[in-house]
Amino acid sequence: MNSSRIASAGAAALLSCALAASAQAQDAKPQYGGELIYAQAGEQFSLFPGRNLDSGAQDVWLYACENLVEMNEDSAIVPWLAKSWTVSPDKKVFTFQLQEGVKFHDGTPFNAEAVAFVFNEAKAKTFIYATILEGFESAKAASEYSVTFHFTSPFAALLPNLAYQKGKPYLDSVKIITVTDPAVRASLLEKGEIDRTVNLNDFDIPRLEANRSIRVRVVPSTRQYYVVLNHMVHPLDHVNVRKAFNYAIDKAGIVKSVFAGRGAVLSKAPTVSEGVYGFTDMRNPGEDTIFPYNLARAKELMKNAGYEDRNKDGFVEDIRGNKLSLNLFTRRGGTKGDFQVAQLMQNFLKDIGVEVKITVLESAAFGDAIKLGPTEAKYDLALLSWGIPTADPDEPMMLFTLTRAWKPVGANRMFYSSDEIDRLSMLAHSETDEAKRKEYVKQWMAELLRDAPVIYLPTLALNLGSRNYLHDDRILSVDNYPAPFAWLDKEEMKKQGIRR
Amino acid sequence: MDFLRRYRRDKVGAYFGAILLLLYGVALTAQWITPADPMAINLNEVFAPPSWRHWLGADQFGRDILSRVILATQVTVKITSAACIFAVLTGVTIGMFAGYRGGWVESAAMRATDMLLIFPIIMLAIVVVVVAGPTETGVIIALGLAQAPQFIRIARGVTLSVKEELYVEAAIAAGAGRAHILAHHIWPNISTPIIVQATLTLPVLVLNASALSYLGLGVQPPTPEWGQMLNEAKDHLITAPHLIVGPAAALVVFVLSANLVGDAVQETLNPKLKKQK
Repeated sequence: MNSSRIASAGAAALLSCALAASAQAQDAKPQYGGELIYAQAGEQFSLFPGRNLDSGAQDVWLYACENLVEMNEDSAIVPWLAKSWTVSPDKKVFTFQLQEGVKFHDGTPFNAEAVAFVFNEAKAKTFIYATILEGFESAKAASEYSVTFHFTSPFAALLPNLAYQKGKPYLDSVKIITVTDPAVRASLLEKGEIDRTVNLNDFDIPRLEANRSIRVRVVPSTRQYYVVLNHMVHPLDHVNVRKAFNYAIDKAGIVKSVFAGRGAVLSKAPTVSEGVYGFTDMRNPGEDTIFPYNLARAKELMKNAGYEDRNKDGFVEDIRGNKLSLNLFTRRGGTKGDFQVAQLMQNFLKDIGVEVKITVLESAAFGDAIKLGPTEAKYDLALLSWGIPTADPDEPMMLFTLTRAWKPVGANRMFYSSDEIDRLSMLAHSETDEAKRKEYVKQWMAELLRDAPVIYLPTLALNLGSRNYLHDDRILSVDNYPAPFAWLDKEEMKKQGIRR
Repeated sequence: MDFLRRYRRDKVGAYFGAILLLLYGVALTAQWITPADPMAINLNEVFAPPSWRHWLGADQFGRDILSRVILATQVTVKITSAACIFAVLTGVTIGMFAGYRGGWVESAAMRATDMLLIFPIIMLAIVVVVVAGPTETGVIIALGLAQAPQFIRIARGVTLSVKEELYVEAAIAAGAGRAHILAHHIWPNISTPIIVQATLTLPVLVLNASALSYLGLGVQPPTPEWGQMLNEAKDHLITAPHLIVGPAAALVVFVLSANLVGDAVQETLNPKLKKQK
């Protein structure tokens, strides 16, 4: 195609990289030039997708890297570096036709061999997302621009089609800065020192919305808060205790006090949110969320598990008189409201007599603490959130709840193991019949509700604040905020007194 | 008695001394005088503004801010007093011994002290807290250790001059042991500058304790601390400005009183200083 399309190195769940551009239909006429300043919330410690799938990091490398296919606002998969693809009838062989004439940043041609290398490397070196590639055998370059993926079992989570346009990006450069404090991000945006930022404090949003030079976009996300329960730690291996913890949490109260009643919604299914393939409302009739707040029930479950306040100190003890005291690992500002949610967890669990000690770790230390295997992990509870960037339940099924996904390999930090869950996950992973696959997903969710491997918490809404002179940047429910084709209205900038 | 009589002459010192005593009174009786349970969450009163029910309003979890400020006073007083005692005990012991013993012990102790003095106090405290853990004990050790070098230097300095006094020589001649001399002859004669330094250190400790907890390294929630409350308040400075009033006012009043009392004590015990002014 054209030589202005240069590509860079990198890889992730379905991809490899190149810099292309598209012009989208607009009312205003896009302008070239200018630098976009974008304030991110969390610090990034690795931009290598093989080791870090952090959504913030993804948001950075997606400026420099590109995928084989993209997901648009409607969560539909559209061609990107791959022009088209075909799937064998048994869904074991996928063939991608690649765009021709694309080059990496250093001038190396982007071809089938490069794509195959990325995926074979991911398998050989057990990249963080390796369990998603379950059944993946190898990738081969069939010709210069055609690559085939071979699977030992059918891989159902791949699909559809649309057209895209290309062109030169409008911006001269994008500057990404890290500002961990949401209040600071909000005021930087108000002063016009940055053009866009994410993860605003929900209590600040009404104020920002009242500002005519600022545009705030809020979209529901697939990111659900949850508390990892370390099943290696007694009594978290006991299902009644785990259920009691789930019932003890006033989720509506969390939404109200931490997210201003608007920055999060009550979850309707475990881990999977609306917008994800195979989503089913798993609530019982008349309930506002899964595991609705029910203190009496929680206390009863604790009692059934053998925990009662025997010495009247306000905390429960087991039959031998040992007080139940657990630590809770959390970050502060890694995801909006995390520290506040942690404090509320501490309070709600105290109501059922469980002492929780909060350990706040800064991002790097937290990241290290939660990537250890079952014998080394030091946390009893850890507050995290789970987003599904692929909008397909295959990701949590293969990465989160599978026995083989126990840390340090996947992301099963609970060290949760269930034969039934494993069986359903594998079935859904290779089931090609959509109705059947959805049924497996539903059974998997029902099984999760029976086992309560984690404490299920509300689902976040994402927000993006930007100055109104910035056009054509996007916010996706998968927690990506692409702006490679954004442009700045210089005149409007000047009017607002912003000169850079 | 004589000290009190002379101290009272200093009007500013007297007034702020009374305020400081009042704050200590609040700290000692915190459990009984809080109008509401400082830990009780009420999610129906999130960010409630000041009212008769909540004089200083309620925080993000609907907890009564006044009660939290009162309990935080106790936490602060406990931590800073303990840290002050810790600093005095370690600092004076090392300083006195180094000054009296002299030789390589003194050199080693003083060089080590100089090393500690290179680092800004808060920096040193942060390092210690990170190592010892953000518990009450950890914070006390951190703040105390960070202040100890001051006391080592002062104790050593005055010990150097006092040990040359005739009564010390007399005690040696009478066969007194080193420990006896340090306790009965040196300490009583160097205590004045130490007491002055201790009162001057108190406000610094209060500020540092708040700084640590502001950074999330102090006592951990749900226990309230002024710095931690200020940190929470700053996130909602525009939405709920009343959050910042209580802890900020308490911090200002405490630090100001402690500083002025420290000055007054210094002037009372050191009349020469006053004349120089």
